Amino acid sequence: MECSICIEPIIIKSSTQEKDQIYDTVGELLPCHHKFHSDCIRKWHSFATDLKCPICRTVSLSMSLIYNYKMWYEKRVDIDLNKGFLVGNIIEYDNMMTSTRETEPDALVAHVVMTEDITNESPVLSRMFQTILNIDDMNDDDSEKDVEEEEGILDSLREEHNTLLCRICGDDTVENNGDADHRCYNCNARYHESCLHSTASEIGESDTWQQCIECRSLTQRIKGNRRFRIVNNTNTDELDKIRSTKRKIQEHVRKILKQYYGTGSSVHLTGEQFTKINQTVSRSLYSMSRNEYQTKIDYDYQAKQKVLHELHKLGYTSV
Amino acid sequence: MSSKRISKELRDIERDPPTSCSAGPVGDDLYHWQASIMGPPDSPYAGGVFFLSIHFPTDYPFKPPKIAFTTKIYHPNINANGNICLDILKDQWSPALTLSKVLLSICSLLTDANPDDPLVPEIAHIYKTDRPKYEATAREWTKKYAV
Repeated sequence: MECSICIEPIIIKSSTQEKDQIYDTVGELLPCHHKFHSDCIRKWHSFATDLKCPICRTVSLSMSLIYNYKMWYEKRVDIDLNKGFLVGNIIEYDNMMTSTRETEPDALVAHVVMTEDITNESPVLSRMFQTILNIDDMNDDDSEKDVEEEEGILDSLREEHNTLLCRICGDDTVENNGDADHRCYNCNARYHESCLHSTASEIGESDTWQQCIECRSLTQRIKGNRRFRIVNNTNTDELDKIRSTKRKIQEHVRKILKQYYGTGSSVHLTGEQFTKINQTVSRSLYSMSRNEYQTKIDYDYQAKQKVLHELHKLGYTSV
Repeated sequence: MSSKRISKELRDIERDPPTSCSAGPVGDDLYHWQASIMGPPDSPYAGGVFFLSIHFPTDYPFKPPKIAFTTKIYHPNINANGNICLDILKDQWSPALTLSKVLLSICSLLTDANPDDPLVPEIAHIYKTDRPKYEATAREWTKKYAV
């Protein structure tokens, strides 16, 4: 069987397949029963203006998601298409995923407009924002390629908005002020707690309700899930400003850090340690700067203090 | 997904080319293709070879490819710039369509024009009121520009 959206095979369970085969999640439209990869048909629904089947143009009323497990069974979850999928470009932004991190919202949050007020607690960057940060932190030159790469990631970030849809009902609603959200960190899926409960009781497995329906790992409850709406037309001036702020700050950090790297230095940092310290210190300076290069901050001094602090942590107490 | 799917379509078209059509990328750019269509034998375009330019959007196949004739053609649904009035290239696009299917649809548009939804109302009027005159002009243009 082939998915006619990506023209790639759809791998489903059959008696002859090998043990470690990974099966695709299938989206079957009803009433026409045409099947696609669930990701492909979901993506089409985010582009389409109606709910017609791509193959036969029958208006779809619902979709069955068919999950195939290695040793388990085929499980179907029905989704009301009119409720799910046709949401706009929204991405999720998690608050308080862990309490140990002290990262401030990054400058790139400027691209998103909050739909809910942010609390005083330091929010933690979501995985996707974190990826952008890491790329920016590790750039050692300002080549065009890096800028392109960063923009590519921003694009894919916009595309990933469907990770905020509950994998079971396909809806993006927030229950209990976001305090009843579950997340599978293994496959980055989001679930409503009530959906997990009802699915589990439907299939007679209420004691394992907290398992992700795709990978079976234990989902975790997220409190206070904050959501942001992406501004469709990203203001390029704003982007440039953010980028230049980051670069200016990193210049200070690198200038200090380079004194402790390479031959002639009393400290022998590995490349990995260099990058790590560069990242930590730059990030902490970004948050201090509130996304804008502040003339009243002595960046060289601040960078030096923070770099020394990191070096001390690594055991270089003599510097 | 787009480049993967376009490459796949290219392989399929090379392996099993659709009748009376050919298509392939222009140079190294996978997103810019050129296609040619042979005028269908049962139409006034018979004997002509018509070239088209194809641009795939980056979100292909979720958005339709942009297709235009580069060879001049006398047809109620194709204008002087080569733009084609065909529903599947606009609001009736489906990600299950492939370039090869689209080219076949364009072939059948050459055989059966749709004068009720014209892009060039003058040609549509002649098509409806004086069919021999339309066919003669279409043959003449084919001879002049497409042979």
